[in-house]
Amino acid sequence: MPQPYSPSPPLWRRLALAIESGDADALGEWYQLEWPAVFRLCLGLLADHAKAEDAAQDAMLRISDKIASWDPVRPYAAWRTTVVLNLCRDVLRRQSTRRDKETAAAGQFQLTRLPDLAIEAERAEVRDAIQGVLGSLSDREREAFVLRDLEALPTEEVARAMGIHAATVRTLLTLARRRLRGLLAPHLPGVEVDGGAA
Amino acid sequence: MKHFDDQDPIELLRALWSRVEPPTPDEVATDDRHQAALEWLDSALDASAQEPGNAAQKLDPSTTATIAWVRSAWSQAQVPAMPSPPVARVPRFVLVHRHLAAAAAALLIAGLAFTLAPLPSPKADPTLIAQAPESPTALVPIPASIPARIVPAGLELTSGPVRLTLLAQLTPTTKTQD
Repeated sequence: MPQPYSPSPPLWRRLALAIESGDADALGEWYQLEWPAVFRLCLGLLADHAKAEDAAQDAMLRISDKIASWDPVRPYAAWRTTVVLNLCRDVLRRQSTRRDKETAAAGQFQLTRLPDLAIEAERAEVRDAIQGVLGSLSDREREAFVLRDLEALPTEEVARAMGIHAATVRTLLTLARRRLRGLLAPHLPGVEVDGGAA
Repeated sequence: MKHFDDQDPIELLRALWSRVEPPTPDEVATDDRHQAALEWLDSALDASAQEPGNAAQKLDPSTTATIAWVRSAWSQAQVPAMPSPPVARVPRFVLVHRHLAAAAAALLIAGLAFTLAPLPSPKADPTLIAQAPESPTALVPIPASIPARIVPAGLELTSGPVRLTLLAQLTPTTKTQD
């Protein structure tokens, strides 16, 4: 199970209090810690690099504004994920017409070759592939997959963030995994495909 | 080959649970089959609780490899340059207090200015300020009665250097003030 970056709760509490009191240094430290995580989360949820960058900037502002309302009893990562998820949903809702077209296009996404993650020169192809792969999922499947399999949040937290039942999260997760397996498994070295693809 | 990862683990547990036959009371302690089933279910539920999500769900190698690839690609995604954090962000309650303080200060200054405006400043030009007489003797005495005399044009009232002539045709009934 991947271990997402998760500084100790006291650090978050200290930063939250300092940011709330207007400490510019604490805000800068918090930005450095959070920016990569928030951007990746937006990238996963939106499946679009440019949109993710814009959304991540908005998310950083929104989180820093709302950090006073964070209840330290709840894990910081889960709270932050909920804020980012809601913001990304707003982005998708605003661009629903465009999104429909993109989703239709993404449904036709086909991988001819899986770029090598270890090769620096293939970074752009990896970026396109991850956008295409995640874009091939429905919004809810993508949310479940990103939060559970990429962010490694507990299923209960994913359900809470998405506002659905945990059993539904598992169902969405299964659908997402099956779809991704169908897309990627034929290209993965050493993986036998036995017709389990969607 | 059947892939259990395609099934909802809760549904799987539910199906297995339904297959467990309820033991009769005298079998509870002795029936190994039921005991084993219960232990398996307990361990599955424990694992599910300890490893959040769907730990009871075993993934086949192709799914595991797929998730691993996506995770790697996702974690290696180039992160754009960090935007500069907003400078000197001030919390809302401080802003509210600051506005209140500014309003109070403006009110105080306006009040002070209003109060102090009529008073002469020590540095003010003394010629622009009404001067009090140097001594009470400098005051012009007001006569108890204003002398009046009849002149051809009318009645002339005299008060110090000032003379007031009333140009009216006098009649014999006109009275003068002595």
